[in-house]
Amino acid sequence: MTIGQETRRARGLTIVFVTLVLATAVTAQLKASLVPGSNRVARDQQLVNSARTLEADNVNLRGQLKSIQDQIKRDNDRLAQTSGAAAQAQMAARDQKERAGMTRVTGPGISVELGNGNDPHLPGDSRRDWLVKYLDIQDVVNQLWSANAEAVSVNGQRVVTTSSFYVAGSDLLLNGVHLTAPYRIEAIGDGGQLNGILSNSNNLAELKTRGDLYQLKLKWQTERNLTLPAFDGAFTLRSAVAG
Amino acid sequence: MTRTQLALFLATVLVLGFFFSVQLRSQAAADRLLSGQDNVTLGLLISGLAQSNQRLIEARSDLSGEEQRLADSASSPTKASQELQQQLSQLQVVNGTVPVHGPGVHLKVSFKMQAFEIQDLSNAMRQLGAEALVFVVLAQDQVAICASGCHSAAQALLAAKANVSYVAPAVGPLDAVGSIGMDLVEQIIRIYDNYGFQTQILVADVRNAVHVLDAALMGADVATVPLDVLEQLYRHPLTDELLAGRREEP
Repeated sequence: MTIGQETRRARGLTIVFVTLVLATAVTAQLKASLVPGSNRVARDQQLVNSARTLEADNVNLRGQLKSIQDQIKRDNDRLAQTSGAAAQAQMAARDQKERAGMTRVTGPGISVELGNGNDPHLPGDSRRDWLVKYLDIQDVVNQLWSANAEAVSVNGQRVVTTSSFYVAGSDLLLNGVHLTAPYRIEAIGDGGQLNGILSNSNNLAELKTRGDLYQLKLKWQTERNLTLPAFDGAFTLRSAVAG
Repeated sequence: MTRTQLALFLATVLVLGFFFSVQLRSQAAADRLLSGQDNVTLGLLISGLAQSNQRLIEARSDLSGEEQRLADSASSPTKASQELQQQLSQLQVVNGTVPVHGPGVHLKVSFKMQAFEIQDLSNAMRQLGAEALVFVVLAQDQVAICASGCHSAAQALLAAKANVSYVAPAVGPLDAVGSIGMDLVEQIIRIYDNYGFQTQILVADVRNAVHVLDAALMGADVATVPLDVLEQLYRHPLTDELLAGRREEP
């Protein structure tokens, strides 16, 4: 290598180094300018990060549960072949699993769309009636159950006996899964009966009034064929014993 | 600048540009989330997710144990059957198709709850991991229902069959149309005595003191008495003379 070549190489490396430093500085500067320099925002960011981490953990744990449950299902199938009594118990368990929402189901029914309305920007408005609240979703689900729905899901989360509609401000935790508006509620059952209960003006009166006032989205339609996912959590029994 | 140097420079700029855009996009996404949710929402979300994750960890542990037991019982048909029976039993508990027992809490609410409050209570219990719930109404609200405007014994009979608290024969209007109101009260008392109805008899539209006196003699339970009739009850000419001092007390 000649002296001229070495000089050119050194010059080239210098250019790359300077470019790196400059780009890093520009990126850092832009990032800093996007985040307002107050402690409150920093705290909010911490909360968001915590929530994100927990949500990621939640997804990961559900994946692990699914894997174990699949293995248990394979074990069950194998054990059921060992005796008549075992086969009978497995058959009965399968029926109970369907009732518990542990299997995917298909059938006719109804789908309900529920979305936030327009914020009227009223001063001192703490009720925020233009938002869909967790009670609205629970009310719709309850109405559907009362019309003999056989399976119900909200944004792909199956509603089961242990489901809780946990309020998280303007959002909802269902089966421990974070759901946000707009919500799609699906129910399998007699479409006419399900449609009838939602159409009855005496039912969901408050929600319907808010819908008129704030253009809150509430609409439903009967469906010929719906597929509802299986409950992707687990039923943990540590205290309750049959009998 | 040689061709190699130029290529190196461009590659560096490309890599940096990629990271730069990724950083900016992730920051923008975080900002959208921040603007969409307040601290209360975030706090509640964190609390709820933490509880949920804890239960998922417990469930993972339980299911792993179950998986192990199933693997162990593969060689024994009896054990296999027992394991499957155990699963069935647990599912029946989950579905609420069998009675259950176990430790827990007994919450007594002594005020009238709205439907949404009961839902909230149920949600909170479930969120905290309640495995089975039962709502028991200890005492129904005592609301007295009065069948008013009763003008015949047949109406009073139906009212008693409907288990109302009171039946109110209107004696004054019956007298006004040529019937004898107190005869109706007498008939109702007799019918109710015959069958042991718990409905009480409220003599309504009383017009004079004789109505009240007859009602008491017959054994009616209640009477609604206007003020002028109430005055008739305590007024008597002899008492008035005594009070006026025109006559001495014997």
